[in-house]
Amino acid sequence: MNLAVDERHFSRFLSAATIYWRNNLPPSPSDEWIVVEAYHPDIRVLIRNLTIANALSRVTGARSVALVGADPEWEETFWRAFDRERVKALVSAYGIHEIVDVHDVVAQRLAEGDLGDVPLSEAEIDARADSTVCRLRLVPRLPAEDLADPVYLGRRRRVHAFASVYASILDRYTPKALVTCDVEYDQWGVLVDLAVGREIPVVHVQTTGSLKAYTLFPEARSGEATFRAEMTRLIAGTYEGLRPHAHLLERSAERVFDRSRNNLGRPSWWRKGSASTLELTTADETSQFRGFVRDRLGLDKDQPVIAVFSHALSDALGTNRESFADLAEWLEETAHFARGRPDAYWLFLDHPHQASFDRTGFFARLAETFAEAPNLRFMRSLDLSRNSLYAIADLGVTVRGSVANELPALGIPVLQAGWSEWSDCGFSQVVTEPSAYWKALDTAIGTLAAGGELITAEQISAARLWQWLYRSGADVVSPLVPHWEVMPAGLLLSMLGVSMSEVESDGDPVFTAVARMWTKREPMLTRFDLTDATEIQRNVR
Amino acid sequence: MTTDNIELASPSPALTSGYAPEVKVVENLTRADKAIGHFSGSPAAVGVKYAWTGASCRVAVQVEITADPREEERPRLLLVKAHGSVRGAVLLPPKRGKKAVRASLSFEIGSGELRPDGILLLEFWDACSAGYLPPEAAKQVTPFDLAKITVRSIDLDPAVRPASWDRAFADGRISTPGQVRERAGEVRLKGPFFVVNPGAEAVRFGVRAKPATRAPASGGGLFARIARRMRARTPIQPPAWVPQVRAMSLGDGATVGIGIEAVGVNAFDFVVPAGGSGPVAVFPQWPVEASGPAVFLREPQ
Repeated sequence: MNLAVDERHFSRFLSAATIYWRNNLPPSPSDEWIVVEAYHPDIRVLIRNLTIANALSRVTGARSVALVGADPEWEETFWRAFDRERVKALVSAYGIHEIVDVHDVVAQRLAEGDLGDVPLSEAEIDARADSTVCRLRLVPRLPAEDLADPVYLGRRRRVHAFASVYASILDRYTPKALVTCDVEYDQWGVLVDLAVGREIPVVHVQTTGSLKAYTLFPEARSGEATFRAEMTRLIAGTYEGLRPHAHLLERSAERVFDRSRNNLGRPSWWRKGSASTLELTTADETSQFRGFVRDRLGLDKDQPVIAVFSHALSDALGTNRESFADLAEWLEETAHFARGRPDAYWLFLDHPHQASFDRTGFFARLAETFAEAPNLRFMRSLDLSRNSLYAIADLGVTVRGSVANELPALGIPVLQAGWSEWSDCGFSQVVTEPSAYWKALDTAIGTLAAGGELITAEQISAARLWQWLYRSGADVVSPLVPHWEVMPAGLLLSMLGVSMSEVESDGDPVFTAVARMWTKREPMLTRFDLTDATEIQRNVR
Repeated sequence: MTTDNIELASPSPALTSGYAPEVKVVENLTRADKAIGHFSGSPAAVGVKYAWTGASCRVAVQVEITADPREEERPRLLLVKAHGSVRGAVLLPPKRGKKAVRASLSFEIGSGELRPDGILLLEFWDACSAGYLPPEAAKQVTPFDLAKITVRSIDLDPAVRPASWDRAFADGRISTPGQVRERAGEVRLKGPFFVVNPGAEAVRFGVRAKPATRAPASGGGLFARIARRMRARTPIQPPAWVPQVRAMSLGDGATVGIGIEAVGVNAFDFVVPAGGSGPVAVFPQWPVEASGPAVFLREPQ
C-alpha cells in the first residue's frame, strides 16, 4: 500500500481529518446517499475520491457510504501489503457514515454459491471477465483455450457476484451519485455499468494533476456503449464551448504549452526524467537535431518517419471505441502494413511501463519478427528522448495515448486508431475501422512524401487549448488535495494535515468547483465557469 | 516565449556546467554542475546556443573516462562529430581504481555551418558502435559499455594554448591509447596505434625508435654478474628502423598516406595530411628486436 508512514503520523493525520470533516459536512444529512468507492491502495486516489464525495454531500445534503475491501487476486498481483484497516480508518476520518466491505460480501456469496440474478448480459459478463483476467495476468489477450480454464471461469463467477452485490447495494442506497477512481475491470466497471443503467450520475475522479474529475449525468447520455465513449463526446462538448473564448486564453494556453515542454507532471504521465524534456525550440535547431537522430537510427533515405506508440497492452481493454479487437492486434497489423510500405520509416516505440502490463514479451517478439524489415525500427520508448522524437517524427500513430495531444500541440500530426478523452476535439485524426485506418495511413504517407502538411495551424492551436483545459481550466487547486506529485505519503499527509488544521474552509475551490459541476450538470470539474467570458477574463492573465 | 522553465542568458564562450543556459539541448547526457554532463552508451549529444556572428568558430572539448570496476581497461575510442561530420577522435584508456583519464580535442566549425537560429551540435559516438572502425583498430579498443564518459567543458573560440603533453597531446591533435612520459617533449607509446586529428592543417610530429637492450641472464659469480650488468648497459646495434606505417581514416575507413622524413638515426618526422575524412588511425610497425613498447612520439616542432 502506498502509505508508508508510521502509526503515530497516520493517527495524527486521522485526528486532523476527523475534526475537519466533522466541522465541514452537513450536521444533519438527509436520508439520501452518495456511494464512494475506496478500493485503491494509493492514498492519493483515496483522498481524491473521499474529498469529492464529501463535497457532493455539502451540495446535496446526502450522506456517504464507502465501498472498501480488496480483491484477493488484485491483492496478490498488484496491491501487495494492502491495509484494509488503514483504509477503513481513513474513510471513517473523512466522516463517511457507512462502510461496506464489498469483497467480503462477494467472497461470501461465492462461497455460498448464491449469485442470484444479475442485470448484466452474458456478453457483458464475458467482456468484464476478459479485460480483468488480461490485466491480472499481464497478457494482451486470452487464448481460446484459457476460456475453459478454472481461473477464468472463477473470475467469470466473480464478475457475476460483483454484479449481484452491486445491484443489492444500489437498490438499498439508491444513491444520488457514485464517485469512483476507475471505470474498468470487474470491481469498478460492473459498478459503473449498473449505476449508469440506473441513471445514477457517475463521477470519475482522475489520478493525475491537482484535482480532476469527469461526470456522466444520466440526461447527458447519448447511448454510447461505454462510460468512456460517452465521456469522449461530453468532454468535447465542453471543449467546443471553450473555443469561442480561445482568444481570451491565448496567452495562458501558450504558457501552458511552453511549460509542457519540460513535461511538468502528467498527462504525459508515462514519461519521466531528463529524456522527457523538450529543449528544441527553433526550426534550425530541430533540423540540425533531425540529422543526428537519423544517423543514430540509420535512416539514410529522405522519406517520412512514422512513430507508432505501443500502448500498455493489457490496459483497460474494450474501454472505448477502437479500430481493432485489442491493442496487440492493432500493433501487429500495423507492423505488417509498415513492412509493405518501404516508402516510409516506421519507428515502433514500446510503452515505458509495459513491464507492468505485459509479461509475454509481445513487443520484443514483434521486433524479432520484423527484424529484417529495413524500414522498421523497434525501440524502448525512453531510449528515444523527446528531443529526438520531436525532431524525427513526421506523423504519430496511437490508439489512445497522450501523444495524440502532445504531438499536435508541437505541430506533429497524429492518427488515432480509436477514441480517447480528447479524440473528439479535432486536433488529431481519428478512425475506428481498420479499412479507414489503412486508408488514412496511405494518404498520410503520400502527403508527407509530396511535402504536404497533415496538420493545420488551427489544429495546433486547438491542441494547445486542450492542454490549457486539461492542465489548468479543468484542474482544480485546493489545499484539501495536494498535487499528485506530492509524495511520499508522509509529506502528503503532513501537508494535508496542516491544511485541515490551519486553513479555513469557506470558499475552498473543491467545494465551489464540485457545487458548480453538480448544479450546472457539467461533465467536468473546472476552476471557474468556463462558459462565462467575464469569468475567464477575470481568472487568466 | 520565455518562461521560468526555459530561459536563455547571454552567451559566454567557456562552458563548464551542464546547467549553463547555453547548454540548450542534451541527448543521453546527464547534466552536471562542475562538468557539462556524463553519459554511458552511444551516442550522446550536446547542443550549445552561441552568439552567431557569421564567422567561423573554433571549438575545444575536454572529456574524461571513468572505468567501471567490472570492466576491462582496454581503451575506448570516442568520435566527436559536429553538425553531422566527424571532427576528431580521442582514445580513452580507463584506469581501474585511479582517477579519471582526461583528453581534449579542438577543431574548426566553418562559418557556413553555423546558422543564426541554430545550435552548435556536438555528438559523441563510440567508434565501435558507429561502424567507423577499421578491423585493425577494432581489435585494440572495446565498446563503451558501462564506462562513464564525462564532457568536462566545451570552449568556443578557445585561446591558443601551449601544446600540452597530456593524454591527448599536441593541443588535442594526437591521442594515444596509453603513454609514458620519458623526457621533456617525448612520450613512450603504449599500444600499437594512435590517432591523429589533422583538421585544416597537416600535423607533423616526431617518431623515434628506441634500440632494444640485451636481457640480463641470471646466476654465476660476482664477476659474471658485473659483466652481465656492463653488457646490459651497452646498446645493441640493431639494424636501422625503416618505418612501416599503415594509416586509415576513422571517418570513412579509407587508407591515408603518411609523409615520412628521416631526421636522425631511427628518428623520423611523420606528416599526416590536412583535410581528408576526419581523424586518422596510425599503425606504426615496431622496430625489429625492440624489447617492449619502443616507439617514442616527439612533440611537433
